[in-house]
Amino acid sequence: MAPKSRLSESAAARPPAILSPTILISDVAQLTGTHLIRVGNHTAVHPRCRINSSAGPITIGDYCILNERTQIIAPDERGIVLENYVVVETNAVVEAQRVGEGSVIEVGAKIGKGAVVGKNCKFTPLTTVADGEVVEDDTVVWGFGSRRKDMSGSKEARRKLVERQVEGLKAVIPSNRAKFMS
Amino acid sequence: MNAPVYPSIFIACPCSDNVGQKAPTRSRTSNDEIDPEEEGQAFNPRAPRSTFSLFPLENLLFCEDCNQVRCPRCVLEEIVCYFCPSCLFEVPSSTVKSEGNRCTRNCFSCPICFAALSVTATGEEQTGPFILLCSHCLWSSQDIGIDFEKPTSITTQLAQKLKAANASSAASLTAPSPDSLSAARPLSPLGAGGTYLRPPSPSALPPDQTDEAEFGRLKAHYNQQKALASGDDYGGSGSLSRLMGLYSSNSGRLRSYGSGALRETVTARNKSEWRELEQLRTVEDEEDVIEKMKNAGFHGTTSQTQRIVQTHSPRLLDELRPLAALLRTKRSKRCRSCRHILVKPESKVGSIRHRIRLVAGSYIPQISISRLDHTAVNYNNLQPGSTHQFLLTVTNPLYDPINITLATPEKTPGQYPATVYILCPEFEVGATTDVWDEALGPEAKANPKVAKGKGKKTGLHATIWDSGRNWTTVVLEIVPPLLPEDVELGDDDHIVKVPILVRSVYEADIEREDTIGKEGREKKEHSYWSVLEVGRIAKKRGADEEGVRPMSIMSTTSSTAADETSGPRDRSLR
Repeated sequence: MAPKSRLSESAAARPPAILSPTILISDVAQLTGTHLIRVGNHTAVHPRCRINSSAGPITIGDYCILNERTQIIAPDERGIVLENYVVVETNAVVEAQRVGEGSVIEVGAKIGKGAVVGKNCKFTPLTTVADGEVVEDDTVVWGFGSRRKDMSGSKEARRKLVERQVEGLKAVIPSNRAKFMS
Repeated sequence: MNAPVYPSIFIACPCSDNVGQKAPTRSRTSNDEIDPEEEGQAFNPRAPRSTFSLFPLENLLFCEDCNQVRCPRCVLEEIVCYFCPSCLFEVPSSTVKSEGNRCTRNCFSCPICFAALSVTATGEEQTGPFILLCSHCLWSSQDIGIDFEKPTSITTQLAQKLKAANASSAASLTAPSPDSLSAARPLSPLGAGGTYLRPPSPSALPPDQTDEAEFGRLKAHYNQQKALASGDDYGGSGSLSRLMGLYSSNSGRLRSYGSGALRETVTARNKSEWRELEQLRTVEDEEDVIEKMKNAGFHGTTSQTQRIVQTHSPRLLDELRPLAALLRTKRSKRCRSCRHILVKPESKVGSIRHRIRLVAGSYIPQISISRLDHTAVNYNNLQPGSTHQFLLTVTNPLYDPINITLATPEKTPGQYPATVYILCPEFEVGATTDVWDEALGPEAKANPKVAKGKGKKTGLHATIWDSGRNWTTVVLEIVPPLLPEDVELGDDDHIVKVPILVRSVYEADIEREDTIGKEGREKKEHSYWSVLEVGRIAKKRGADEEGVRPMSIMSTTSSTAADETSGPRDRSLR
C-alpha cells in the first residue's frame, strides 16, 4: 500500500483528540478517524503508528508504548480501550475492545475485532487472537496458539521496565503534540 | 516436511562406488575421448542408492589432493572445541568428560518454549531473590517454587534446591495422605527425580539412602555386566569399567548432586548405559499419577517435545526443570582417504572465521538451469510429449578458462524416460577474473560485442546461447515422457531427472614442490555426475491452460519469440 501524501493527510479532518501534556508523540504518527482519541500521561507513540477511530472512540492509558507500524483500530462504536502500561510492538494490529493493564502485544501479533484482553497478558510474536475472544488475566499466548498462565510474578518488574523505556524514548523521539491538537 | 523445489541440481559424490552406475567414471588420466563403455553406463538417479550420494553443491567439500568432491559421508570430523552457545565460554574437553555436555555456568533454557532463560532479580533495586525467567513465555523458576539467593553459580544452587525439595517432599510422603498428594504443590513428589526411583514402600528408606541403595544396586549390576562382557572380546567392557571408575571414584560428587535431574543430566546424556536407570525406575502408585493428571487437566500436562528433552520424563508442567544449555562443538573435517584437512575453523569461540575451508563451489564448475521462455514452461506442470527448452548455465570458479564437455544419455534412466538433447555439449567457459576486467579491460574497450559474446543467441546447433566473464549458457531441450494413466505410478516417476556428466579440462600452473624456476602448465581434468531435477510432469496432457505450446529451436518463429522475452535486458545494456 502506498503511503498517503502529507498533503492529503493534513487536508483530511483530524480526529478530535485529548492528549496529555506529558505524551510523547512523533509528528509522523497517523491519527485518523472521526471519534475521540484520548491518550493518557507518559504514553509514547512512535513514528508511523496508526490510530484509527473511524468506527469508535479510542482511549489509551498511561505509560503505554505504541511502536512503529502498529495499528490501533476501533472495531465498532463501543470503541477500544488500552489500559495503563500496555506495550504494542512493531507491526501488531489491535482491534480489541479492551486490553488490560500491563499487557504486551509483541511483534506482528494480531488481536481480533472486539476481543477482550485481560490484565498482564502477553502475546508473543505473530500470535493471533480470534474476533470476540475473551483472554483471561495473566495469559501468555505463545508458539502456535499455545496458552499458559503466567505465574512468574514479574508484573511489577515489567511495569518498571516500561516506565524506564518511556523515559528513554523521550530522549530519542522528537515529540510534536501540538500537531495533533486541533 | 519441505516440498521439493524445482528445478534443483544435485551432484553425485563418488565416495561409495557402484551407486547408480557400474563403474566409477572418475579417472585422472586425461583421455580425450570418453570411454564408450563408460558412456554407456550413465548415472542412474532413480537407483535406490543414488539418493544417498546426491548432494547440493553447497553441502560438498573438495579435496585438492584427491581432486575429488567430498560429501558429508566421506569426511572425518574432529572436535576442535566445546563451547556453550549461550555464554560462549569454551569448555575444556576434560570438563566435558567429567561434568557432562551441558553448561555448568548460568545458562539454562526454558522447559516450556526452549528459549534462553535469564537470571532476573525479583527484589527492589536489583536485589535477590533471583529467578530464572523466560522472556518469551514468561515461565519462571518460581513456577516450580525455586528462587536463588545470588545471581551466580545457578547450577550449584539449583542442584541444592532440587535436593532440598526432594528431601522435604519425600519426608512428607512418609505419612502419605490422598489430600496432600493431590494438592497442587509446585514441587510435587513426582517432580523430584530422586523420589521417582523410590522403591514401592517409600517409608522403608530415608531419602538419602534411597539414592545410595540405588547406586549400590546399579554398581552390582554393572559389575555383573562387566564380568559378562569380559568373557567375549566385545569392546564394551573397557568402556564399562571406565564408566564405573568414574562414578565410584567420586561418588561423593554424585551424592552431592543427589536428586535426579542434574545427576541424570550429567550421566545419562552421553552414557547410553545409564538410560537403563530410567527404565528401572519404579513408578509410584498409578492411581496417584492418574489423580494428579486429572487435577492438572490437559493444560497442566507436558507436551511430547517438552517431555523428551527432560531427563526424568515429567508428566505434569509442575515437574519441569530448567534445562542446562547443551554445549556445542566446532569441528574440523578431513578427507577420509588422504587425511588432509578440508575445513578447520578458528578455535576461538567468538570467531566465525575458518583457517581452511575448501568448499566444492570454488573448485568445480557450477551448473544452474533456467527456463528459456518462462511463459511456456511451468516447473510443476511439464507437458508430456512437448519440447521444453531450458538454459543450462555453467559457471567457472577457477582462475583459468575451462573446456566443458557435457554428456547425457539421450533417454533418461527410468521406466518412463524423458528425451534430453543438449544443443551445444562442448564449449569454453572463461576464467574468474576481477569483476571490473570485463568492463574496463583492453579487449572490452576494443570490441565489447565480441568480448561479451552478446547478440548471438541464435540457438543454432553447436553454438552457445550466451556467455559472460566466467559463465556460458547453452540450450537444453527436454521432452517429458507420456505417462500411462491406467498404471499406478510412484511419485518419483512424475519427476524428470536428468543425469548430466560435467567434464572440465583446463590448464593450470603447476603447483607444489617444483615451482622454483619452472614456469610449467599442466593439464587438469575433473568430471562429475550431476542430476537435474527439472520438474514434475503434468498429471494429464493438456490439463494446464493452453499457454503451453510445443516449441522447437529450429523453427525461426519460436526462436525469435524467445529472443523477445529474454532480449530486452541485454539490449538495454548495449
